Amino acid sequence: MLHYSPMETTMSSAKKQDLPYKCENCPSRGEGIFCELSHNDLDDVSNHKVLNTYKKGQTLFVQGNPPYGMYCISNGNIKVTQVGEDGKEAIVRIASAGDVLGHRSLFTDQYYNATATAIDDCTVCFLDKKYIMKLVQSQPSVSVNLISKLGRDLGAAEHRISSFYQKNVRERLAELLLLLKESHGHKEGERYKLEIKLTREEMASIIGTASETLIRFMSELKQEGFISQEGKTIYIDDEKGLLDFANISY
Amino acid sequence: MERLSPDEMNIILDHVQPRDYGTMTEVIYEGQIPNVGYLIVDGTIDLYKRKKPFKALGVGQLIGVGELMNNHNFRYTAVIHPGTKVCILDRSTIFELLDEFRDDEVKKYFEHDCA
Repeated sequence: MLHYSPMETTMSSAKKQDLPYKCENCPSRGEGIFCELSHNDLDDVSNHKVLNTYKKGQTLFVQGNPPYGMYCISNGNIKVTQVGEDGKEAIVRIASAGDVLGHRSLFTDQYYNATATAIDDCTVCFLDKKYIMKLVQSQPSVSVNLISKLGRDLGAAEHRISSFYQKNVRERLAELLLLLKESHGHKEGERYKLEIKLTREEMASIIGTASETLIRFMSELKQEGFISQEGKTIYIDDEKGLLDFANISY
Repeated sequence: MERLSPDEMNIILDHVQPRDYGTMTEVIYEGQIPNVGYLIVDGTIDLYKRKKPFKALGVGQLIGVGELMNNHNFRYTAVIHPGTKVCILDRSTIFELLDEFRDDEVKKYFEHDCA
């Protein structure tokens, strides 16, 4: 007879790895789709999930493979990329703490149309499809939060498409820096430090240009005093100027 | 590592539809708790220990199920070959199978880690 006690085993395993084994202790608590669940329901999620750390470069799922669940990012950053028929890789978005991944494939039952790769060391929880579907049916707050998430994803995708048609590369770069400021910016005095380290290739891929072009425009933005750089860390020094430069108004 | 007999495989195949993997993929990383377990229906999964090839697993073999159900870290990196067909055994599915086949021999395979 099998006697599984997921709670105990999860706790002992997680303590060894010093991970936030319970959803209530998650660093991104308050930002996820399960945050409105009751204490007991959240405990049930904690008991069912699989908690892991992914090292930089490890993949959570791969384009073309079958989906089997949803990933909740506890901390760290993950890039979602698509490889076209020409073999070129494009970053379609950066997911970070509180975000979920793999949710769209769950509902469409299509194979993954993108690959998720850790940009830095990440802590990620996994919940299988059947369990998510059970939650969607029994917990209205989870359904509403998932629909809201899908809606925001769709809005972001539409904005990205229009940005590609309506803005030039300079404006798209300025816009990217402002978006990174919103998602990863940490205020330091009068400026914002971007708490994410993307390579020039990754940034170029996000705005759909060549690395050389991106480097040229980054230098321009630095000369204009909109941004500065210390080592690999980028700072937004003049948000207002960058907003004007990006041709957008928030 | 033990291999499920065709009859034992059929019990799982009756409940879980096999899925194809189109690209070579690291499905479990060494040191992680597997997100799901796998039953190989066709093709091969290679195990690596500290990036060195350790063993190739084939049809009828289960991977990661014991570790998943016991929250144990997997001791290898498992790499699935393109064209390999597997039954994906997540926690919910395994609990369902255990409920349904409480006295069946199949359940013993869900207890043990990948040796």
